[in-house]
Amino acid sequence: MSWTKKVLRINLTEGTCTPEPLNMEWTEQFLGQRGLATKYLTEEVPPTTDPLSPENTMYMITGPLTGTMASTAGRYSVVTKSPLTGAVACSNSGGFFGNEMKCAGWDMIILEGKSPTPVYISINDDKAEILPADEIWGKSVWEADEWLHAKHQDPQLRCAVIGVSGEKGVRYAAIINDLHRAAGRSGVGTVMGSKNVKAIALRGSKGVTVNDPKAFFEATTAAKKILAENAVTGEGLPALGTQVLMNVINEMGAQPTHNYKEVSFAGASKISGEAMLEPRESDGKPNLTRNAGCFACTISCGRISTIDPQHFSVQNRDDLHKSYHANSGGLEYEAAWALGSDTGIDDLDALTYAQFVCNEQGLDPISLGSTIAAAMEMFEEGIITTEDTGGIELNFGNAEAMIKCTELVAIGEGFGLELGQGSARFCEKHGHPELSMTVRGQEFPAYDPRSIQGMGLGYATSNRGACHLRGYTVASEVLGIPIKTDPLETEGKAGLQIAFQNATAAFDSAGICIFTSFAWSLEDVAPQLDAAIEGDWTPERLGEIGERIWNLERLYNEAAGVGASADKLPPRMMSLPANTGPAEGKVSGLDTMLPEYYAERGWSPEGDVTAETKARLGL
Amino acid sequence: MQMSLVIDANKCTGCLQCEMACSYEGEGVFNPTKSRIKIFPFHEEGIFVPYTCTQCDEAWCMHACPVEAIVLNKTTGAKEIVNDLCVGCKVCTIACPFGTVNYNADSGKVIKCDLCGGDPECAKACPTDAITFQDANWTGYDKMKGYAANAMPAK
Amino acid sequence: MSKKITVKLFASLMVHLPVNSTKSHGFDYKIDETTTVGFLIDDLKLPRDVIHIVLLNGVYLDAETRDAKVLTEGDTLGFWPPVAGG
Repeated sequence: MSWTKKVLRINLTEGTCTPEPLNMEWTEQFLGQRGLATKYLTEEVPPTTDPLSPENTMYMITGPLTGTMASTAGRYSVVTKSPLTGAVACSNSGGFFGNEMKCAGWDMIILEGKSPTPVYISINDDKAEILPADEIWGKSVWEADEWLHAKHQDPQLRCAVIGVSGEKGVRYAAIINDLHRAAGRSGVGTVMGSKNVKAIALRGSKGVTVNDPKAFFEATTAAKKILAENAVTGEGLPALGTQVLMNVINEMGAQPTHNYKEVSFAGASKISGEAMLEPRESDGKPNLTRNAGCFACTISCGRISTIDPQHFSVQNRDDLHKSYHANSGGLEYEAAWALGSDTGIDDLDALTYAQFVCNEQGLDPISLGSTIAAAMEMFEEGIITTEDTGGIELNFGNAEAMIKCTELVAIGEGFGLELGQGSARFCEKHGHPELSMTVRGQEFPAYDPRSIQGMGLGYATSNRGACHLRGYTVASEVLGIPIKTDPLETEGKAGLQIAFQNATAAFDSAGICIFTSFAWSLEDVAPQLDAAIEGDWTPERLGEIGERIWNLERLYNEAAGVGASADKLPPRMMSLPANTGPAEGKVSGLDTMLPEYYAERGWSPEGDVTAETKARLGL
Repeated sequence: MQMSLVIDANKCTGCLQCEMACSYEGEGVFNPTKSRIKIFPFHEEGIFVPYTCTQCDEAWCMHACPVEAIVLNKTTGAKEIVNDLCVGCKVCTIACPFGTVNYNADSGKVIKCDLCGGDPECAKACPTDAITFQDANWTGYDKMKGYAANAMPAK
Repeated sequence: MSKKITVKLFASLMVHLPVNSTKSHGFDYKIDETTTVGFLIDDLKLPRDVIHIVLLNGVYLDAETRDAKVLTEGDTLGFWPPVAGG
């Protein structure tokens, strides 16, 4: 079966690597990946723990399908207590690291304590070692990745690495694996850095087996066929990636702009997926070279891009890593929006450059772009000046300024380290917390809650802080998947969010990518799981597991002090109406939706998980 | 009709479905390390290249084997390893100019592509048709057709 | 005086753009009092099996009712194939 049933527990304080059995009882309740690691977190890390203290623990975990031939089955998650939000953090990444962990014989790697000196973890099947990282501490992800491959003389090594930002305590540092795939949100890289761990370098040769091969091939082949025949997963995502959304969201007046002051961006088409296909003047090449797949992915939405060689960001820059002058992981919609639309910048190459920096130094581009946008608004309002910014003229639309800020956050220096604390802390420090577009201290993604009402409820209730990947009702409200609902309507959105949130938690715990859910429902996931592992896995059971996971996360957050009290949107969403488009004049209807949401969740009117709900879910 | 694997690197997304299919067929496990076909990512160039044995007619590996453990499958044209004969001396891995014969430390034998007996799993698993199984005499058909399209007279 | 609207085509539908409008996605389209979305789709030979999202001034038009929708001066009408992201 596709569990290895083994956990590698690494105590960095003691310097020990100890194998232990996976708690199979918990897998029955929480499946793997997001759900299972959250269970471990809630059992092992008290909710009041300081996220950057040695008492916090970091869980890198695969799902039961990870490493198999099921489509997209290369995922792993990083679960810990977030230094950005103080809530449960769970960041999910693709690439080729998760499957390698499974191939090495581990379902999960646990990092606890804190190493006295910088180290990296080397894992070759059963053999795990804590090794000195003095030579790569202070280096970028890309430099460290090269060093590790050379050091171990193994071109097939898979590495998950933090950049300098994570070493320096930037609160939205990401863990980057395979050079440009990220466990991006909520500062999981910051936690890794706080433990003095620079990298985990893996090599696995054991492989993965499944419980019932015949049924598994039948189920996965049928499911792949669904992805191939679906227009979104079979054509749209491979061709234009997530960036195809830029024009849709902008045209419907839901594209947050200038730190969410406005809901459409005049320069959107210039930084869109379509623009990435247009040949540029300098060398006749388009921004996009090709699409790429993560492990086992038959969708392949990944972008491989180049920066215009004549763009100011790279021209005559011998100091840059060679990849800035070649191909690397390009823009996704969220990054293009945060670094572009939210900051008012319509320079595609500037955004691609900033994306490369985020990959090279391990940053979440959403939180980065949003924080820069908030700083830009404060600069334009005169709340901060060049004295605060270190001389940077931080106006909306200034690509040079955005790039300068990105470079400074990437190395955690000066004004960059201040921006690196995130928009909530930055705005609070300068006396204007209302200008921070965050929930639970995590920056908003790319959909305006005034124009897409369900997303506002999603941000407010998301257990990891504002996020689009916990309950992506955009699928229904904008794209008509699985059914079209009116984005301006609040009625029915509580139930819609809950359905998306629960199903997403199940997808996130299985080892597959959430993008499969544009074509698959739990009905398609269940038979794949059922064949891969022991036990009876039905869509209903997966739905219940999703609900259980959501409530478990919520209970942890309640105990951490970021439960119902944090279910709110910034005042701008509640009082500044959308300035144009179909939502013109509208604010978020959160006040209407939230009580319905609590009721439908089976929570108290105050938003607390009730004893009955706990009992019903076995929590 | 003899068939050949045809590889079009421009279509490859680097997903490794082929490597898993290959390792499962050969070893009964999803394990890219045990695959006879490999995908090579060229990161800076932005391209993924699948590579495996081309089943040379005058196969260096077959001629080099001192115990005649590499034999021609007359139906498929594949050069196959006879595991019962292979002594794991690895001379074939040295003889092969392309590196497509490799030693499997777990079994003590070498492994190479055997075209799965005439129905290669890698080609079936490839989601983008970067790997196809075609008439051995016409492996250039698609490429030729592409250029023919360019030469099509305007209507 | 003739009235006109702006038609915008995105993603894979861009191949149906008039030659001179590839950069902006949009082009002008002349209408009269009776021009409907359905007429426009056929007139521009847009592939019905590919069209999925239709936004009239940013508002989604239902597949069942969109064909009968009458256009008015200054409208912006956008077309997309099935797309998604995140």
